[in-house]
Amino acid sequence: MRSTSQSTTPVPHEPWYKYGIAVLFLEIAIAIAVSGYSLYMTFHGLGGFPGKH
Amino acid sequence: MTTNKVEQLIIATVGFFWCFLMWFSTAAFSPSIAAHYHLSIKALGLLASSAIWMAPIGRIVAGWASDRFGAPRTFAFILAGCGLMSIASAYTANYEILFFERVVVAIAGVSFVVGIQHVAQWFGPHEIGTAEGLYAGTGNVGAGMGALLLPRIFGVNYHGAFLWLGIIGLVIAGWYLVRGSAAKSTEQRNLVRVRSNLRGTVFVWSRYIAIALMLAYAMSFGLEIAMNAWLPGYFTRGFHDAILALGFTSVAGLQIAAGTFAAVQSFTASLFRPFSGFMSDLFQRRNWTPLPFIAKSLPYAPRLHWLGISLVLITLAMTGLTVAGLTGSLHLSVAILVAIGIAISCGTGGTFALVPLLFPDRPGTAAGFIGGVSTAAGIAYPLVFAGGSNIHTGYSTVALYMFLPFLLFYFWAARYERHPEEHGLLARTFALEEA
Repeated sequence: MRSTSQSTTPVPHEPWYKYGIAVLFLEIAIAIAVSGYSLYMTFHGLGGFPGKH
Repeated sequence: MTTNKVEQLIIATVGFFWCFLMWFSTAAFSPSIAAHYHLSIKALGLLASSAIWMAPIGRIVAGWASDRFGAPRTFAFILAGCGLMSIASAYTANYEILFFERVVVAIAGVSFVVGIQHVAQWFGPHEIGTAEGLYAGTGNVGAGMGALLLPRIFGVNYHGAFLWLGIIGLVIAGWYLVRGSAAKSTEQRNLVRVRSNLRGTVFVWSRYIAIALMLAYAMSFGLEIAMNAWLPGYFTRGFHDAILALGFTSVAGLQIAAGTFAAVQSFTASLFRPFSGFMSDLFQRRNWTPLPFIAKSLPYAPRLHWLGISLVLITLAMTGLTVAGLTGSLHLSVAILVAIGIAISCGTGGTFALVPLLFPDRPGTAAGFIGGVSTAAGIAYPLVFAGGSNIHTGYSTVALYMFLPFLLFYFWAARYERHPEEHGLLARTFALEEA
């Protein structure tokens, strides 16, 4: 019934990690872009997600 | 079979994405189904709510099954079963049968905990936050993509959509079965399998830290799904005049404006989730432990602190939404809503960056308990939101009377400097077992 052992000493990241971080920031960029676009459309009375006005 | 953890992460993420697409595909076509079968508003509401019926108990069973039979078999079974039922629903002409079939297809939503278990079996403690965040965040997008793309691709032809979703689900099930591998090593797989018994389940359910994480997930994911259901109605009623002033005068226009604000919360909460896992990893690497009371010397203490900060942010943001609503400012309310979405993502990502570390020999059972029971909160919050005399005050009521006690319990349960998972109910029984 033990939790895993984990040192707080930094471990060098493996090669996959930088690609993982790239995907992560791409997803955040998409979230900001879609949210920003939808809010702009809505606040200007033009419609927005999930359809047109 | 030669494989690696990145391939396993991709398989789990694609499987989860498709399951969420199937899960919410009924909602995406609910207007078409309602028009086809001439459904009343009540019947439509029943159809919408049915998507979540199977989640609490289903996730608990799926979590245990992934420990017992391995994630690839469990995930493939879910994908194939839901896929076949989705194909069957494409040829159904009777609404009662269609309703039953779509409830069965909604079981796809339980796959979340299976993938959490799968990823936990492959990634190390120093990178688990980012890996689980990428899995859950990317997979969650399937729900939003369903609402966004399915009606645009298939129009009102929901039969065609259900057919193709099912066929592709079967293909992914085959891929998962052939290329999926349950764990990094045979020893790890065997350890998890032998621990997947009733005693292990009772052990997890009775741990204070597991209960605290379940409540943390109820504060984050539970709130997310509650908000998905509640927010369109909130904006329509709470900001009716402000939305009219924007130029949305028809009923359809009001729905679109209110739906946009709700979707922003959902989209932000999903897509920022990997960022939270990354932050959890970052706290771990920098050994940041800024909060009082919470343990500082545990190997994963920084992750406990990151989750604690996330829960504080959720509580504050909920209070902020009440304040913004009472000022009558639509713009401020939407800005706070974006903040809530980000805070929720911090909570969801932070929780599942910890679960595999606290229960490494029972990751599926723990994920099932924490990810399953917490979804019941999604039913409770809207009742509180709607129960007040003022439509804006429900958020601060939830923050004060539900989130604050949950938060205090989390701080209390996370205070142990050694093995927090050993503290819980039935302590005497499990102490005897250890001896």
